[in-house]
Amino acid sequence: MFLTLARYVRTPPPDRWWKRRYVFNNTWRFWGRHRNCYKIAIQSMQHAWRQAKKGRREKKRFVRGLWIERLKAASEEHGLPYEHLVVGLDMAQVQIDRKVLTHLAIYEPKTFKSIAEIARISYGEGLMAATGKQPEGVFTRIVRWE
Amino acid sequence: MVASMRSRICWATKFLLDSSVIMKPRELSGARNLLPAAAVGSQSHTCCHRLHTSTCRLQDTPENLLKYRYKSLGIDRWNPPDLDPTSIEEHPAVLEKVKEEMVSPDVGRLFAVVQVAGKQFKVTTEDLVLIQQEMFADPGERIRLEKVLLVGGNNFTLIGKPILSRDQVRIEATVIEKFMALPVVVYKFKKRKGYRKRRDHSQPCTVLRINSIEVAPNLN
Repeated sequence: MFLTLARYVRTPPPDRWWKRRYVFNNTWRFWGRHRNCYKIAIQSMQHAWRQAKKGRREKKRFVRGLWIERLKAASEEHGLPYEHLVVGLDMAQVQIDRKVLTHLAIYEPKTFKSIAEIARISYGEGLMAATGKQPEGVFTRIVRWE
Repeated sequence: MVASMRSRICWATKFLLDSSVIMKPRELSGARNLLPAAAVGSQSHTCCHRLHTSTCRLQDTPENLLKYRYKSLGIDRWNPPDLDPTSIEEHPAVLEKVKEEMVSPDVGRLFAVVQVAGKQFKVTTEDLVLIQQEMFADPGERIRLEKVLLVGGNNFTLIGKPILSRDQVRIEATVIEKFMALPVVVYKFKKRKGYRKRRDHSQPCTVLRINSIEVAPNLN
């Protein structure tokens, strides 16, 4: 018996009300017709999704810039520019990232002070090894008598 | 007085940590670009010649604690120099103090910086940590967190290069729950081209409760 046509019965399309309900659930906070009229609401909803996707990526950049700003302020308190802090920690093989460093600078000031010291010392040593000159005001572990 | 003691302690901590680096150092973004800034004001246009002389001088001194191998103005970061074991004896007084602190019963609340799933967290005991990754352990199981970058208390800090060894710290956590986060809509669209795609993404998450952070006085 030929059953193929019977099997090609299409599933009914989703109920119109439910389809619109989904969109209005996403757009209930929007302005005016973007909230009430389906044709306009769909487009705003999709626009919002696009912006959200873009924003998720930009948020990471923004937050990282915020950490760097805060670390600049925190390291200046200890008399150390931010670049010296970061390069010095890198030379000392300390791999604590900026997010945690910011948190330590705010909530664990003693620890951050010691981290700044480490960075200052290793930065000075790096400079000295690169240039052969002992930097002023820093007593490093490698002392040269010239 | 306290401030100077802290700085001396931190100086010592730089020495007293062992150099058993288990994993390859992770590259810090941005630091590479900043390296030339480190040599600002020092380099001349004929810097090549000067550098050779300075590296020769470095290799000559036998008591060089940090044996950097300079290929350029930067440091060879991927082969970090081994610490001389004799260098630790230079600051025995500070070592003693740090050991005392760690062994004493009223160590107080310790905090640690731990790396899990590619991200770093600063944790104390009884902390809840949300990790955006599916862990192999089931809820209720106890886990030991191994990548510890820093451990600190009220009066001392141990900073790892880049991580502390397993003998020095022990952090235990329990898996509390594992779930899928609420779905996030990823919508791709190009105008006037008929290109649109939609995807619902729900990230698997795990919540850990940090049970204990222990510090052992077993320093190398």
